[in-house]
Amino acid sequence: MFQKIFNKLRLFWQNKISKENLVIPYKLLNDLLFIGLVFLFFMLVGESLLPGIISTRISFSIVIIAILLDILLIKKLANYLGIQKSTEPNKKALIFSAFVFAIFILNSLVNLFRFNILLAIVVFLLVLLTGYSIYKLAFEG
Amino acid sequence: MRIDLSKEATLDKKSQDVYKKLRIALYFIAVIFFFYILFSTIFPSEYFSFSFLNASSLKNTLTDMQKDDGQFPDKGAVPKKNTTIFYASPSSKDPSQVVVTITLDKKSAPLENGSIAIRKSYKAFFYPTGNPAGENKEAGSSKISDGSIVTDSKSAYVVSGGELLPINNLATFDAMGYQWSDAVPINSDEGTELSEYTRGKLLTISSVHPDGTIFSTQEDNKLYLIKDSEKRPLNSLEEAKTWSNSSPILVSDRSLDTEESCELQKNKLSSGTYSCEIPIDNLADLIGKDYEFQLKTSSDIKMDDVSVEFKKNISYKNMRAMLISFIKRVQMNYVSENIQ
Repeated sequence: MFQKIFNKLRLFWQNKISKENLVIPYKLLNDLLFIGLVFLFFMLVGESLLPGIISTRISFSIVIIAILLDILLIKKLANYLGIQKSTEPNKKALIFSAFVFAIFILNSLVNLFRFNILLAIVVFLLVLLTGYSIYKLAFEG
Repeated sequence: MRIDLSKEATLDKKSQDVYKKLRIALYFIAVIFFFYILFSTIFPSEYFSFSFLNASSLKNTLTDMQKDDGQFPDKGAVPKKNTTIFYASPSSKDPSQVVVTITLDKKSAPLENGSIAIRKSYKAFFYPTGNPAGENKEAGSSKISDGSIVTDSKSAYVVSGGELLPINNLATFDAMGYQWSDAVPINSDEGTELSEYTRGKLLTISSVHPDGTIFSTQEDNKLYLIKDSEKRPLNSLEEAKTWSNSSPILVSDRSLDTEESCELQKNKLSSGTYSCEIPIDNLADLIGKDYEFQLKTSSDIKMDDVSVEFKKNISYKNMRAMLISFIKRVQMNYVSENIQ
């Protein structure tokens, strides 16, 4: 029985799901990634201002795992469809991300700045350095 | 739909039309999801539960589960015409509705004439009334009296039975009705007079007021001392001061008589599940953090789970109150020095 179902699925895959049809899911996954990143951004803003306000309803790990799965699927589909995507980072998006990243770090160190400015500055610089190193590894390594 | 996030992948005209429709649907679902999260943040529900299958689990948030005789209903078994009492202490102020759901064991008899009644006050104020307390004969000794609030550099504590009971956060301090003007700064380091006090159990929002607490009714200023799981009447404020230096905690006398109730109805989708919804706006102006639930039934039942959901009505008033509390919390994060 399972063999029959498997054969039917294989035929369906061969006949109905052509490479052309898979371009639509590929494009939709890109849109989904955009939605996920926007949602993650608002989550981070909300959590920075009021810790626990959103994470008590939807966990960060779920959102991040969903985004990573989406990226993985996009990558697999792009390979299967032979789609070449530019690996050059978007300069504007990069500057915006770096700015937002710095604000989030500063926000998380607000209380530390009150009690130990020197330590707060050192932590801030170290986090920036770590972020920059990760970026270098990811895009240039 | 001019923004194309995947320009590298091109489609023919027919597929382009399909993609456009699916894309609109995707963004529509995302907007609905976004508003759902927004609404559930502004009008939050709070959930409490108790599983008799895992009665010692820390995940059980309904507290002080007991029968008429004060005993815990072992494995969820409750004899007929018995009352099961349990408590929930929501952190959000003035919920509008409560949904209570009882899930019976598969082998349990059906729940007949089941009802839920709710009262609101402090757990300790629901204690039975005991004999008058009279004056404290040990008054004037050098020890700090039970029920006093003390603070050190780490925390605020309630003194009770030779223990310092730390209060876990500001919300609990306020919810328990304590006042900062009563807090006495102390030095609890070793070698000081308070070093003989041991650190007791952490007081959380679901904790009961410890022995030594004095309640004063809002309506007629009746005074009660909490001692040995009883509330013992006190005749005057002078008498009360022999027991504790802290101001009495305000309670509503009406809390004991005011209740809301509902009949449990069998859930159509799940055979062993019964639930009912109770509007609790009438309890909003009563003082207290604890909601007492009384489950009554005319059949022998065996419960698996009990769950309670506190809901807030979608209204302008609730939205305004929630937004104001958000703003206050943000202010606390950034300018806490200026806020008392």
